[in-house]
Amino acid sequence: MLDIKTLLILIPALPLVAAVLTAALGAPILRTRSHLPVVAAIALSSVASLLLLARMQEQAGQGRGGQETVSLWRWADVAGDGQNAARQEALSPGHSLSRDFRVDVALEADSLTAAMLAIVTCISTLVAIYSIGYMRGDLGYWRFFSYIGLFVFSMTMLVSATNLVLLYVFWEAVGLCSYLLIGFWYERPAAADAGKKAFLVNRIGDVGLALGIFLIWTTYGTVDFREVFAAAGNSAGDWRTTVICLLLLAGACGKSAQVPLHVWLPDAMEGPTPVSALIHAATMVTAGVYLIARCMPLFATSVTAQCAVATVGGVTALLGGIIAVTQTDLKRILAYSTISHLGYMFLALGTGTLLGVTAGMFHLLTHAFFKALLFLAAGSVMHAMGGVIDIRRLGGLRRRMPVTHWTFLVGCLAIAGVWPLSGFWSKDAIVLAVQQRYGSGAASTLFEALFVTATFGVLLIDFYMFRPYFLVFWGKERIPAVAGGHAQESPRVMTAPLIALALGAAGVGAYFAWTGSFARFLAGSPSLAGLGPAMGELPRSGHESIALLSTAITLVGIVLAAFIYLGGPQRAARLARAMNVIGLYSLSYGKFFFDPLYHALVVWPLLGAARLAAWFDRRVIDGLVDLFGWLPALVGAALRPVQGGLVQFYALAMMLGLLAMLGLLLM
Amino acid sequence: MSIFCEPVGLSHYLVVSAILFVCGVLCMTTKRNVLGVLMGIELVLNGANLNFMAFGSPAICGTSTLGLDGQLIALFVIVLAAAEAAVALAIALNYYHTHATVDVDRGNELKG
Amino acid sequence: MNFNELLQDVVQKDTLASLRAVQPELTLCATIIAILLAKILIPAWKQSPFHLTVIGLATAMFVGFPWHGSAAAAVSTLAQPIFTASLVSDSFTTVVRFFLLTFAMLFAAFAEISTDGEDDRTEFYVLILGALVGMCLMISANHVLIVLLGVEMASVPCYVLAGLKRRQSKSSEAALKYAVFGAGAAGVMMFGLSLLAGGLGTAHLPAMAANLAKMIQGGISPQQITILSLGGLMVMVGVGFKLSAVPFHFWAPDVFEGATAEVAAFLSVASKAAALGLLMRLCSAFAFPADMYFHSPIGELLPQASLIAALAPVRQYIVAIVAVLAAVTCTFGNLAAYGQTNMKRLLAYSTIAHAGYMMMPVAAAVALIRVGSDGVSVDGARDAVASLVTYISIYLFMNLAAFAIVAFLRNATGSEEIADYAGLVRRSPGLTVCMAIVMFSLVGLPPLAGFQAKWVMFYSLIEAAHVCPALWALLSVGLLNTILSLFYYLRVVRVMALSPEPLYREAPTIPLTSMVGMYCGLLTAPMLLLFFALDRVLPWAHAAASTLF
Repeated sequence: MLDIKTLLILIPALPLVAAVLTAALGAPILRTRSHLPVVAAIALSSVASLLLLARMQEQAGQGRGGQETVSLWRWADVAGDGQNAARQEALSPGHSLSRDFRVDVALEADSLTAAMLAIVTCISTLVAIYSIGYMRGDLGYWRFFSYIGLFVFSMTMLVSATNLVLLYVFWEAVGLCSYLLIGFWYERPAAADAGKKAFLVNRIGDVGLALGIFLIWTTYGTVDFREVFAAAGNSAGDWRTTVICLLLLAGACGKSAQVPLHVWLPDAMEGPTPVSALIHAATMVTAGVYLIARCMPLFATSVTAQCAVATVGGVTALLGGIIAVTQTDLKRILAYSTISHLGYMFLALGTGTLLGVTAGMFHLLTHAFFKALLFLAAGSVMHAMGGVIDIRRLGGLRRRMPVTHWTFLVGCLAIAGVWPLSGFWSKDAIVLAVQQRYGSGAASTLFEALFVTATFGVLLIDFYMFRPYFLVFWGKERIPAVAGGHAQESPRVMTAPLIALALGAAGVGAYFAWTGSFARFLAGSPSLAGLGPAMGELPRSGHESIALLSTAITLVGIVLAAFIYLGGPQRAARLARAMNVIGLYSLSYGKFFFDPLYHALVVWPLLGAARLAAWFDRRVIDGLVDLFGWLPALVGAALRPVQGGLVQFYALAMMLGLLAMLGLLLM
Repeated sequence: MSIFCEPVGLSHYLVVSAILFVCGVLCMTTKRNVLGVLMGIELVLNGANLNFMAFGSPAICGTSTLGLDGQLIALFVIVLAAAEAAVALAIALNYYHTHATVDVDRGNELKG
Repeated sequence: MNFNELLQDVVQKDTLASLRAVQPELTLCATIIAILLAKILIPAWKQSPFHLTVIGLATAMFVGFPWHGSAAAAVSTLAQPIFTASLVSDSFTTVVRFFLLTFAMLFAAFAEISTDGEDDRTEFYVLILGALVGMCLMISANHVLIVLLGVEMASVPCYVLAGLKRRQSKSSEAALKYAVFGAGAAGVMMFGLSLLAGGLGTAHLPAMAANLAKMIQGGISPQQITILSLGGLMVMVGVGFKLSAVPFHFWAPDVFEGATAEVAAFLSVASKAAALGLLMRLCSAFAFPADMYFHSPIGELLPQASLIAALAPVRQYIVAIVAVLAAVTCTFGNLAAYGQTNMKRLLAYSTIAHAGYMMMPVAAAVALIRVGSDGVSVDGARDAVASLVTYISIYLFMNLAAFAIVAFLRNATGSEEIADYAGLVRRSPGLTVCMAIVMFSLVGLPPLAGFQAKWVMFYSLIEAAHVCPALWALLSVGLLNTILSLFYYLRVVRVMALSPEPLYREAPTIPLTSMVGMYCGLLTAPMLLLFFALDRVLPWAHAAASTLF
């Protein structure tokens, strides 16, 4: 019988084994069957995760402690000054005794981990199946699946790590997978550059995370989550906790593409579409959200940190939405939409209430479904259209690609939050959480502003999602020439996951919202245990007023989009001109000029400094080294004539040497 | 008080040996002919021999003497000098075969 | 004591015991005679006397094995004066002699592999063995006569060896230069020894030191100082010649280039090791005339501590001379090695530089003899000598390997120019790796034995510098030179590994599985092994040092 511990090990182990297997055998033996081990392993992993989820729920139902730990081995063990003294002292921060530094490779399952595992593995399974069709015939077929396996391993390890150091390792590992997959078609300069950009921008965030971990170690004397939380509970409101939270937030911003570190995600769309769906929409980018949710006990003690998280989230949500409105590349629209939705999750976490955190995690769940769906549908379009993804060159595809069309529509409705699709429930929960927060707590003005932002963001979502929908699937049929003869519906292996995801996107929200089990289940996690009084049941149908408001906004948005984009291009152009009166259109189209700004502020000065350093290195340092190499050579060359080959001179030199020594001695 | 006015003692032997030494060294450093150079070396060795003899003789240097050791070493030095000369002459002969001269300054192929 | 008693005394007490202590030397002599006799008595025997040589060397190694040199039974043998105290047999003698014999064994194998099918090999082996006997005398010398004899016995065969290629003008030129220069240096040394021995009234080294101490205690006249210091310097000329210390090094590059690589290997290692042994002997005798050497005919014992304390100026004198010579030698060797195009010549300058390095611990050892109110402390000096012996033991493999590879490449290409090694890595990657390891080890880079050698040496120098601050300068010169040497050693590796193969010919193909390749591997392996297993050598080195002071 598979108990929780076994499952916990199996979930990451299976994809790892498959990845290694594929990497070893892919090129010589498996070739076009390279997907088999990875898809099978991930599927088994997802079954295991669901089993784990069920077990956890069972345990929670029986009232037993909601967590299980498996220690694999001790990774680092540096003894401190005193074993027992250190343990005692560790709980009171700000002392100078050096402590034992221990890092175990240990996995832990609590409800948060279980939920994340289930999301990651289920979405991965569907995306992996989809990839079988999408990646068919690619030269790097085996490489792709090997990376995917590695990613799933890293991601599952990331969410089940028991300490920050282990989490950091796999945080970097998923970053590596992301880099490898963005640059999967590395022969394309754009892809290679995008990979590099993602890697570099993520480094900035990672430095924050690393510093945060260092500070946690110096402050609390441990890197184990549970011990940190226990210690943090004892020292509420310490300024150091705030700094730690802000550093962790920096790390999360990098990984989850929040302003101002969001610039890498749109470029990351250079990778294969399934990668965009899996890593850059559904799973990896949510690692930041997971990190903050996991460290909620720290954030709960610092209002400043909460406000920072919420502000970052709110600004990102708005900015992402505005930029998405004017983009013409379907995948980039989705990327900005992802940024915007991650912003919503941050906003929810920023409230620091149980309602907010569960709402954020709930949105993470629903978003994973509908965003993966939208990406895969977009990929399906791209697949059929010979790689063209510019919505201005497409049109009227709904007859040629009925399954893609319908699933895309479901995704749009879900993301727009039309009742009763999943987006409706999770988004309302977030808006509700923000509303409640400003009703009852510190920094209410900020949260009131954020509430307005969030509500306005809903309008943007509808608009920017239905714009490409109408342009691509309605109107006159426009098919780019490169599509050639295969402008038709994608194969079954691709549409089946689409349908599955569509069902999920449609139903998963309603199911959990009605039963309320998701929030209840999550609340059992030790990370969320200390978040004030339990809110009881989440509102089943949302606050009526919020629900009505958002539904109204949604309908307005959809109608507006239909009015503008079904009516012909001149309306859109007129709107653009109207918006541009205050420069909004240019601002949005130019993505708020983050990239040029960073170029001017960061890249150019750094490049300049690097050139200067290179010049200094080449001319001065190398010059010195050359001098050091040349000078002896020069002296050596000057010395060589001394050895003139004349033996009399040798004897003379010998006697002169004798005299010189005598002189030296007499001195 | 000049060395010339004293009865012959250790210093006189030392002076003679020093003169021999210097002559030998000069010979070594100025002669082009290898035989001349070898003769210079013999002079140096003979200077050393003279020293050993003088230092070894109770008649010359009184109580603190090398004794028989000095005489013995002198004998050995003579033998060593002979051996060395034999080998050096053989080598010089071979040198003559390859260079058609016994001038050491003609052998300057090896330098630098 | 009548004549009969004297005879009994000399023959039974002294000579018989002494003969036991020189068994290895006797074995070598027997081998020489055996080889010569075999050549005369069996005219049909055209083969190389390699096997006889190996048997002789193996026997010598066996009878001369420093059993007491093992860590367990260190210092079980005290210094034993033999042959009426003209020689001394102690751990230093046995250990260094054993290293010499080990080297000779490896060298014989190398010579046999690389000069397969040439004539003159009877002479070659006989001369090598004869020189070895002289070298053994050098390291156990305890008397002026033995110093003279040892140096001459070690030198004269080498003159012949250098000119063994009789038809080559370079070889004969090298031999002539070597013989002339060597004879001159020997003459100067003999003159110096005559002054020293005469000035001090004895020819027995420790007794000379004791007399010197007494003279210093009783007040010494300026004339005497001049004569003695001049004598000392002239002795240094002779030792410096054997060591190829600047400015007595001039023979070395020419001889190394003119002679065959095999002979150069022998000269660069065995000759140098013996010269260092002699230098160490002389220095220790004059710096620290220990009780145990006072079995001389005039043996009159003085309170040791006061004796040693009186010799402080002598020690300063020795440290100054050796340190200055070491610094100059090291720097000159490294500088002159730049710009060399002939590999053997480059290695010649490299060995000059290494002679400089190896003189440093000698200076350190003498500086580290301390006489305080609480007696004499020699622990530091012993460590310094141990570092010298360690250096010698590692240097033995390094330099032999370098010259061996040069010889093998000469056999394959007919050239010893560095430029002709271009592109070797493509044809003979194994050999190139061996050469690179040897070169890096000569620089003294970890993880190679050369690093350990330099490390222990510099460490002892640091210890000494605490006592004698002037040695900090020597230390910095040594370190600077280590960096300097990097460039020209690396140039060889660069040519082998990075330069393209010349168009007009192929680089030689020497696989590691061939006899030659295996031999190179055998010599290169210790470079890695000794880095990690230095503690196998150190007890021997410490045992060698234990009886010197």
